Amino acid sequence: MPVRAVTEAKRWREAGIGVALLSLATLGTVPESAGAEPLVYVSNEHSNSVTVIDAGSDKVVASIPVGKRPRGIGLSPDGRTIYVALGNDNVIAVVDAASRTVKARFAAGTDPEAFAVSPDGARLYVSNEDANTTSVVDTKTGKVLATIPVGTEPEGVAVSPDGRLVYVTAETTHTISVIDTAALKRVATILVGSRPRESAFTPDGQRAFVTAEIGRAVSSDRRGEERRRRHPQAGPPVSQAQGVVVHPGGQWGLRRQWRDRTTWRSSTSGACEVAAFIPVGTRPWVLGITRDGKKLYVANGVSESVSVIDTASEKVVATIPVGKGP
Amino acid sequence: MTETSWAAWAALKLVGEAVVRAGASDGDALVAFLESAPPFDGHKGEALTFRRWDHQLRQPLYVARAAQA
Repeated sequence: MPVRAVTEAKRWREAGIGVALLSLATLGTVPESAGAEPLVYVSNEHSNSVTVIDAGSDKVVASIPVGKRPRGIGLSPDGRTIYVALGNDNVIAVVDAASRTVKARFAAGTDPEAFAVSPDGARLYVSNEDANTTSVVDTKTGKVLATIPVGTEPEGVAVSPDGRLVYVTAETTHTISVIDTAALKRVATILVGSRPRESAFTPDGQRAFVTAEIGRAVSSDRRGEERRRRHPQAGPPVSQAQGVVVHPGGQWGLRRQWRDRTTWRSSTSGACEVAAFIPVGTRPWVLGITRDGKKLYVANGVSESVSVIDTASEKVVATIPVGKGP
Repeated sequence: MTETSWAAWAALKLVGEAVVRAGASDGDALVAFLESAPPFDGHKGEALTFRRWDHQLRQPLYVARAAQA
């Protein structure tokens, strides 16, 4: 390969990363409270804002300025607090969902990207992409309780439904680092498909699905002895897998792949096969599902929109324009 | 990164990953593994694989057009 081509490839790669970051913002959904429809929160990386969508009408009801380069987003279990990772501010913004204002900013290590909220809401587990660590943040005090070494270039973070384990994907080492949340230590490392991005547990916590962008597959890991190295099972061969959610009923997992502008579902029981492809916008990157499992929201990074999928009919029922780089 | 340094980086990364994934470090096992065309991540957005019959590494190339300043 001539030097010039390498240089061009490097430039392209940097541009590609830019696009990837643009699309990394995440969706969060809150449960239906008395009389109110659930709300969907979409972070817009290049508008420095969070768009609020009413999941009943699928209309935008508000836009919240949050800070520089909002990426990962998460909600407290009671839906009263929205957490947003601000990549360029090196903090997690704490947003009051009622007043829709930023009420605090937690220092969460460098380059916070993706994170997960513990099921009890007491902690945030944050991947620090450039430091190869996971920061554990106390949501009451905003203090970092621990900084745990994980694989190289950590990305997606998932907490098991019982709160005992955290899975952190590492894109460069193709691994899942398993963190014991009581000991705050890494207790296992699982080798999965190439360039793992995100993972999601089934509601019973017995299995996790991991997307592998280059490995063209979803790995599924049946949890057994937690301290033993596990052997993930290969999933269906599909390209450019990014986000994954598991239906709250546990019947199926969902993953989107941006290259084909599709989202698919696959059975979580028995053989893992693609069951449907659902066309959405360009470069679908992350998914959010309502807690009743009826609606799936897909952020289309390049289209600057959110596709709403009715999970029963597996059809797109609405396309909502949002900010830049959802 | 120059041509030589890229090749060195990619070679070490591919061999290291092959040892980890094949669970072996002897030549025959590594050749068998590499000939099975596992997808490697060359940080190019698409998988890199070795062609079985001549062991050529298949990888994406990017074509760019220079604009006059």
